[in-house]
Amino acid sequence: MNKKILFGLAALIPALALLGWVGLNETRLRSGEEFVLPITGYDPRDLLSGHYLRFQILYPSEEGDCPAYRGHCEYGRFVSRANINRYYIPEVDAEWLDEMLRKGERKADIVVVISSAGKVYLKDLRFDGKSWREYKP
Amino acid sequence: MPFILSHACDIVPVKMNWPKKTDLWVSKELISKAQGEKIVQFEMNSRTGVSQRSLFLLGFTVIAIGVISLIAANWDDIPHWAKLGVDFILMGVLAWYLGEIFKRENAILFDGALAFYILFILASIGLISQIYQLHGDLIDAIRFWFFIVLPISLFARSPAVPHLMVLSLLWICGDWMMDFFSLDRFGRNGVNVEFLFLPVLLGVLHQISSLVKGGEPFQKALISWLTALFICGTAWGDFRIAATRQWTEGSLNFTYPPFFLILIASLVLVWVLFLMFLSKHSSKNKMGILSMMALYAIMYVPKIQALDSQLLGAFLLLAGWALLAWYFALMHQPRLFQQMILLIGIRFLVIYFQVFGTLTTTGIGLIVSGLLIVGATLLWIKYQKKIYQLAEGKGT
Repeated sequence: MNKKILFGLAALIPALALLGWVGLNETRLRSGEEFVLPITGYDPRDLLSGHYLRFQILYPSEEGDCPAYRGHCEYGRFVSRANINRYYIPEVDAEWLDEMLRKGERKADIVVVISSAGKVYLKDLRFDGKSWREYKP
Repeated sequence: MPFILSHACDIVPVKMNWPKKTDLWVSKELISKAQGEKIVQFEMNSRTGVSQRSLFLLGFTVIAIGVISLIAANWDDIPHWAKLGVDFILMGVLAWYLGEIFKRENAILFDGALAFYILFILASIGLISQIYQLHGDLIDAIRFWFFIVLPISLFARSPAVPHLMVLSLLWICGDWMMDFFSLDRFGRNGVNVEFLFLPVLLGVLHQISSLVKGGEPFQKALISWLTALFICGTAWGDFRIAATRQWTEGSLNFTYPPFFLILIASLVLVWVLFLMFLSKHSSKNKMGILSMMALYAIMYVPKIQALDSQLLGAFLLLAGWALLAWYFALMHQPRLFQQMILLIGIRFLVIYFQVFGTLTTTGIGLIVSGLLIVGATLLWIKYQKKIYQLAEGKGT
């Protein structure tokens, strides 16, 4: 095969792979089922993706209340394989959001979407049932 | 003494002042004036090439880091679809630009743009992860990035991009090894497994790349990392053999997982078969490589590592480094040969300190140490040319 054609294909592979990845995430996010989980947390920094809030999910304590995503119930406590523990936030909002989450004056929770394949997507971070964006100073 | 010092730079003139040097050669009637001017012009051009390449790569890399930082700042006011749209448009423009400059001969510009494109892809992975709140480790992003940019990186014309790819491969494979065998990567046995697997992997890949037309940039990057791993791996082997049981916290009874041994044996077999039947190396070079492999393997035998012997560790390390120096001489790489000899000299000095211990910190001990260093250096300056020629196989 012509070297120029091979080069063109090689240059397109990353773009096509990323487009496919975006498409897959979008489809799963739209077709999944929504759950709300209460959280508590703190804030570090991530090298690649900027600021995020790090939190711990307060899973339901009674057996049978566990959401239907990858993981299992152990002695009434949910043990997750999804490893959801951070929510990416804009750098400018990091400080006040961190403070809000630390103080714990408002009830914090996350909205997750679980696809039929069991993949978990974090959709929103909320305080007292309202999106964090509504509290922007 | 003046005779010795005048021969100090016989093999490798580092940072040569070319106009001054050629004037000297012209005055000694070694070359004509015209030849002298041509040499100066050639050297200046080649230096400009290297500096241009470095500046281009530096510039493009800084831009790519800037893009990553901007994305990391995560503007929430811009809708997700707009962020993704701009990202993909920029990616398309870059891919088109790469295609345009691919037709030209300008390797510096092409490699700079290629480095920028592949780093931009990494930044895009960060952006998508952020938008969809995906929860993976950095290594997951690096792994995905590595596989999608690998095909285009094969078109690199200088070793800069291949160096980045080889480094990523080492990271990915090292991480995979630790996960697969449930080992601690910073633990002693984890490091043992890494130092056995990674050089063998690079050795096989180097043999494969040597058969591919246009694979020279990757070949150079692979051989550089292989050499670095060999030097560090032998140093680690030396430490393990010399370490006392108390120091290693009873982990001397380590045995490799059976599947790991099968994997390593298969890779070594492939490497040796490539080397023996498909490599263009001379028989002396092949012998040098095989000897280094055998010596390296000995250093990683658990029973050898449990011997608790400083002398054996040092001997095996010095033998390994001497073989590497010999290999460099056979490959006509005088600068690398000299650097290996310097490392060997440093290890000899460490042996001296190991043998005499606290005695070396006394006044007399320090004087003897200094005299030893000066003496060894003078001997090396006097005989380096002969030793190099002997190693090259040209000596009498």
